[in-house]
Amino acid sequence: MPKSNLLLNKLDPLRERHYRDLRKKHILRLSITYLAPFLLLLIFLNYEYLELIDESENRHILSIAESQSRILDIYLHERLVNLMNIIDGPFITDQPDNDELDFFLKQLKKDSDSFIDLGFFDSSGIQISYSGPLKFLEKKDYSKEKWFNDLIKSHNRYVITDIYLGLRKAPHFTIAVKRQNNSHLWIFKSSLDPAIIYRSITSFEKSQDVNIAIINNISEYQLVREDIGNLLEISPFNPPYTHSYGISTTIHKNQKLKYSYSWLSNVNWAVIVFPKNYGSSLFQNKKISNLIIASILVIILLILIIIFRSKKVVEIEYENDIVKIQLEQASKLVTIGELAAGIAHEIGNPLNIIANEVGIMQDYANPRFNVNKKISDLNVHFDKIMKAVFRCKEINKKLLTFVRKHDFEIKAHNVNDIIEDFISGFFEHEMLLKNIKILKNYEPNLPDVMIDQNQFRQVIINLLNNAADAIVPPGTITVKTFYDDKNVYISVTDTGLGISKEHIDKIFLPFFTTKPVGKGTGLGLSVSYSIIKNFGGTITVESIPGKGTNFTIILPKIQN
Amino acid sequence: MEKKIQILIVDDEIDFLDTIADRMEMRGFSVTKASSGQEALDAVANKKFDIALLDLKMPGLDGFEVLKRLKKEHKYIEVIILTAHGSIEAAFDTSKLGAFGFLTKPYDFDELINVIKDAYEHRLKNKFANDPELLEQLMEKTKNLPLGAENALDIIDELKKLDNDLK
Ligand SMILES: Nc1ncnc2c1ncn2[C@@H]1O[C@H](COP(=O)(O)OP(=O)(O)OP(=O)(O)O)[C@@H](O)[C@H]1O
Ligand SMILES: [Mg+2]
Repeated sequence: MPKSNLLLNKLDPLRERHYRDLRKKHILRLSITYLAPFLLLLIFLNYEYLELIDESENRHILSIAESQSRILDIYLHERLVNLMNIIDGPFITDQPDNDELDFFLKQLKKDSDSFIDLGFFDSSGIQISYSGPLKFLEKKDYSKEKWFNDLIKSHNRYVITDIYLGLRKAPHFTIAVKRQNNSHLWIFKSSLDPAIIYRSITSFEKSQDVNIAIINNISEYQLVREDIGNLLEISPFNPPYTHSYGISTTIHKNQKLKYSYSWLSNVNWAVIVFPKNYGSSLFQNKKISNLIIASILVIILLILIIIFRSKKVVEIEYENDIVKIQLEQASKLVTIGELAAGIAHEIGNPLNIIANEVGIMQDYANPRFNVNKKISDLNVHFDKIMKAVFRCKEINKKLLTFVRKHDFEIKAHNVNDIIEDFISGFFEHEMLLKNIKILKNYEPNLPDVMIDQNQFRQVIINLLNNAADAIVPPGTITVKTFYDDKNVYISVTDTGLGISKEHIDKIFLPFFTTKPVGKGTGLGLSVSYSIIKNFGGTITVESIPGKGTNFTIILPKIQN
Repeated sequence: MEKKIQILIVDDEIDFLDTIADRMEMRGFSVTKASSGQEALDAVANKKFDIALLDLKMPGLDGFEVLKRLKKEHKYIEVIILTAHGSIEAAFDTSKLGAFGFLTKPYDFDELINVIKDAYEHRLKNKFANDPELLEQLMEKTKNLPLGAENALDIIDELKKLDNDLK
């Protein structure tokens, strides 16, 4: 029956469950053998790669910091030299007036348009003369100003201040120089617009993936983009003074931030450089994503291999695991002789018990053994005798189902009704108490079959009891009916212990049982088979040891 | 005190085991019960037995398998098969494997005692087999013992005495 077998394979919950389990197991196993080493390698490479990236990134931001600080140093040095040239120059008079300063400022502006103004001071700190936009600063007393005092005290001839907003409300900084000639002291002070510095840095920022800022020695921002911080605000950067340049880390907006720093030599400023998209790394994104695409491709390939391989392996193993018999070939109906031998054996045991029990009571009565027994002591022996007698009776009863009874009547029945009657009658409830679930899946349009109702019920009872016996609770028994153009199928599937290869071709033999003495007669299946055979049908079995068993009754459809 | 004959009974019919053990003990034997082949092998590993009564059809290790292992590891034990499966082939096969006797269930108890007697005599002869002098004496004495199943118990007592004397 190739066709019906196909149908069975598709619908059988036992096979379905086993196939799923096997697939799961194999995919897991193959994943571990194929995927795990690859993933480990990937993690390792990624780690190495990150190290490499980290290092090159460090080198990158450090070189920017260094070059920018050098450019600034040169720029400041040039401005200093510009001022020095004026103060040491040939045109300087003892008391330069505003006109002279106008002339000098023009000179300076030629050198650099950063110069905003120019003032001349004597040793008292009063601005004697001034050239520039803020005329009201003339004659103002600067003797309390820090830069002034620093310059007077310093053995250097110049002072460069930090950047500040000052009266102009615009960021600027100051360079002041002095000249001592005998007792005469000249002091020139010029305010400078840091726009050039700012431009140099921002133009650099534009082309690179970095942020650049300048801070002073107390971590205040000297030059900074607004989105990062404000002028003179305390920055999160604290580069050490001990090194003129290097890499350090800080916490910024709750994130660890790596930055490079480089101190200027003319002034206590440091150039700070850090990645624009801090948190992630500079180059990582583009190059890592290449790596990720490559890995994903490899992983997909591996998964395909795994799925393909597991499918093949599972198919082979799956067929191997299933123990089944085709009754037509494997089991002929037993001969009268074999049946007789079986009966003799099965009746022999209880008879032996009876003989033995009677024997011990004879012993009690025998004066030789001198035992004193009351009649009530004999109850245990009477009980055993009765039990043995009923065992014989049970065998008798089952044997009689081989024989047609007087009310035997074959006619058209819908098997769904007969099965449902029995299951809902009391079986389902009994199973519930044992923690066994009954799943029912009846085909609603099931065609009738020609059977004797009582005998068919007997077969269903046998199969359901066997299924229940095989289950170590909790478990499930699935009862299913379906049909094709020739046959009606009744399938009973359990989640029990299954039947071993050695046993499967014996289970239909009368008196074959694996159940303990007194529990099974071993007649259930042989009786069932002979009944179904008598209806013109057959029974097939498939079992997966450890997983469960499927019995399917196949009965011919009524052909009109 | 006189040593009792040690008997091992192997049968998966619990109802049978208890009663036959009682009956054997009433007759002066020391009995150990085993309800499966594995229990039998465990018992033999722990204790010396003279005679084993063995059922053939048992779940798990069946009688044939137990017989094979008993005879391999403990040659001296005399095994008597008690089975409901009374085919001639089975009797033949078990005797080839070294069983001393074969009884089909249900059997006559006196008959069983008689076979036990024979098995015990056989066991004694084996015991003294490598001492020709003692064996000679044993043969001499057993020649005079009466025959017949009805006297089996008395003869077993005589044999026990002989065993003690010869030692
Ligand atoms: N669903 C099943 N799962 C596992 N083993 C089974 C199943 N059905 C039958 N068997 C095996 O087949 C053997 C024979 O079954 P059968 O119904 O003929 O006799 P039994 O159930 O042992 O006794 P009885 O039905 O007479 O009470 C069982 O002892 C058992 O080993
Ligand atoms: Mg059964």
